[in-house]
Amino acid sequence: MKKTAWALAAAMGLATSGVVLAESALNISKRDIGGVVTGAKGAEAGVWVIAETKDLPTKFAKIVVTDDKGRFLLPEMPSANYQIWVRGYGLVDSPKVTAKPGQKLDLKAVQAPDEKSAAAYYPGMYWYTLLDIPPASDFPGTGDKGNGIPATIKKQSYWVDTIKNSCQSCHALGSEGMRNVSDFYKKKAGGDSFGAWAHRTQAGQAMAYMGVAVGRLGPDKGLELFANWTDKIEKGALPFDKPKRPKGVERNVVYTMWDYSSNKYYLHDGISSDKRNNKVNPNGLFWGSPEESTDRVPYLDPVNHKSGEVVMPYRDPKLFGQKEQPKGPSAYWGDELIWDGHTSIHNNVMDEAGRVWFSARIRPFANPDFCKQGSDHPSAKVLPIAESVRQLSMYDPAKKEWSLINTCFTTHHLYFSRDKNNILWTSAGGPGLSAVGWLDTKKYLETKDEQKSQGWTPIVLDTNGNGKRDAYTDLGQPDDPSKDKRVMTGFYGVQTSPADNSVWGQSMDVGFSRVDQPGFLIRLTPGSDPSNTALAEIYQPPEGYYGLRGLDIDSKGVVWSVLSSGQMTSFDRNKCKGPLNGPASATGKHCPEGWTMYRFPGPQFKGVNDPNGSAEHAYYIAVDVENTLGLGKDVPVALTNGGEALLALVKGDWVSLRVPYPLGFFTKNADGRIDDPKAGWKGKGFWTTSGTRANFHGEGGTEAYPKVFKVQVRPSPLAN
Amino acid sequence: MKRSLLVAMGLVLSAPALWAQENSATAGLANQLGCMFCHNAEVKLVGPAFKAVAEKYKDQTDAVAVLTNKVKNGGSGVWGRVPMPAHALVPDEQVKSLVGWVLKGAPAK
Repeated sequence: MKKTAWALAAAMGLATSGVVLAESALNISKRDIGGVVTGAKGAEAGVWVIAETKDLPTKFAKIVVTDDKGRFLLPEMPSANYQIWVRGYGLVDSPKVTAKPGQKLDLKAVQAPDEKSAAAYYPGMYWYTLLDIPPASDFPGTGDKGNGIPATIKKQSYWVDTIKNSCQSCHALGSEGMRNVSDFYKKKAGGDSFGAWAHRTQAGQAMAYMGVAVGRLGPDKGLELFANWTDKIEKGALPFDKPKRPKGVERNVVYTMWDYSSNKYYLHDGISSDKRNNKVNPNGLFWGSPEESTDRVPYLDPVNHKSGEVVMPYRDPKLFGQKEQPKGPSAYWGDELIWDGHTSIHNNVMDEAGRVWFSARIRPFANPDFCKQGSDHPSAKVLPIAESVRQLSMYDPAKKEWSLINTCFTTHHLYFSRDKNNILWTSAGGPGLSAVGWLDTKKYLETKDEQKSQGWTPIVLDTNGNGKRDAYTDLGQPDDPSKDKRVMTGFYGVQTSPADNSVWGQSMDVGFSRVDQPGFLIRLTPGSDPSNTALAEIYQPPEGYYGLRGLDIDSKGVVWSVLSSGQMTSFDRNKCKGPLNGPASATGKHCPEGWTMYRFPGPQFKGVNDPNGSAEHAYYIAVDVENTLGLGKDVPVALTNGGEALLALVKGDWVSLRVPYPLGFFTKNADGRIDDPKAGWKGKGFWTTSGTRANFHGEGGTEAYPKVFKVQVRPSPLAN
Repeated sequence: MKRSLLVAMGLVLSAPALWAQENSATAGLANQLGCMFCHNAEVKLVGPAFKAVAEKYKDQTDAVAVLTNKVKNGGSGVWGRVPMPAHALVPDEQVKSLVGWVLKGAPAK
């Protein structure tokens, strides 16, 4: 009843208050919707205005932020009827009203009646900080007969890295569906919240992955702390910190979003253009990579607001599928097996001709003979490989053709080099998969010879300091000062430098890898015959910083990454003072002066006494070399799935572009595209996609589809 | 039983090879079915170490039936608070093979 009264008042306010305030400054064209948002105390600055429609071929939404006078302008709206509402910190959603492009529309914001209602709109991170972290004195763990923490978790940082880089790799921790436990699981556990967490981590077709993370934390301790967290929230605990409304340039943003794929699938990554030249594929299709969920690769046509899919084939019919994986009943989907994938399409990149290359599985793990011991393949002679978890595929939209490429090395992320052969460099995932593989795509496209077009190398440091690769000690062997040294730092992130075309990788820390070694940045100089000549350098973040994840490189060759200790970081090799090879380089600790740390905004976990870090977690990072976003060239953007934002570092200051709808924004990669270089901000944008494995944990539940997001920063909040 | 029969028939030389092949295949099956995400032969992960399971049930005559039921239908309370999820769709023959292998201490080969 009270809610109805609020809605009625808001609707009335719409008609009376806005017109006067808005009249003079807004320039609303036929394609725009604009007006003023007012609240109990007048203009509502820094709140979001969300417009959504189902009139187009696929569901479409656009979001902008009000300026300091509460004014808003939704630019370039496709012709349709829109549902429009106001969302903001300190508010609850206003009633939805209907409007069309060309319309002036003033909106009445609805004050949150209490803290709990307001907090429902906070990014998940604010809720996640209510999770208790075992105190530093509990580490190293004393096992299941002691404090429940495995002895392998030696430091508190190992724990934090695990809950971020294992759990938060897939889930928007702190989002509504995570911070609340369904009655379905509680009932299964007879009302016991520990048991409910045990059941929820055994739900669906990812139960095996979750089992690994739970086991890593120590199941009794890990599940107990997560159960205590949700119990606390159920009893009314609220975040101890509050987010601030967008300010300054954060109010200039325009988010455009489209549904694609299926509500039963999820996306890992997506791609709009060629990283090396953002003018490739103007106004073209955006392509997703659906990882384990399906072999159906979705695309979006952002001009015509249409989505579609192409099905990736695989080479061996014996390839196992997700339907054969261990599974448990889900609170959302019951016993239905929603994932039907075989091809594990993890990451995708676009080449100069608009072809899309995927890290994907085309056959079971066992490698063909040419990869193995005894093969004449030049790389197999150096490092024979018996199995690979993923290989490569390529889709040519112009020809509507798939190519499947049987690599000996495992692929995870992909990026092209900047040379005439368009070498596709790959990462493998974990550090233990310690080979760096590549495909000469020019040769492959000319010959289709997958064996001759691929190569790989072990990662070898020049520890004898003679400047060339020669005999090396292998993994597990004692060091020999006369030799080089092979290290176990398989790439997770991979990128080539725009400055010198060197290949950079990044290896994962203990929380992801479950290998007791830190994460590193790795610089690889391929040389003339990479299998035999490639030399690596490794760099470890300074003491106290941990959990590197992903990397990108700016035009000057500075490497950017994110850390689970709660920072963005840059590494400038040019700042290194000492020698970069020789025995001292084997630890990766030889260039602390190359690193600069930027603490993520937001609160820290209460149990973590490190003011230099925040509870924020970013999955990856993208450097906007060509200024497609609108915040300047070379701006690094962390993809933060705690703060649910694209978090840009602009001249040392944070610009947080929080995606407020649907709640639970979680992404894993982004890229930029220039559609029309002469059209200013309208001719370019930064593209990303939903990345959580569980869209249904967020706003919209099982009706929520994966989305494509285009993000643009205008010169002002009212630009059109 | 099978092993006794082989010994009785004088096939002692070939028996180890046959058993090695079966163990290896079952270890592969355990990997394929995802058992090893939560279990390890030697140490506790989410679930108990398989060697601990073998030790616990070594003198129990209905061990195969008990563990088969546990795999198929799940259960809790024997090894701690985390329940064993049900694996009702795993074919009976595979469950039988897995249980036999676990009761041998989950040898890799």
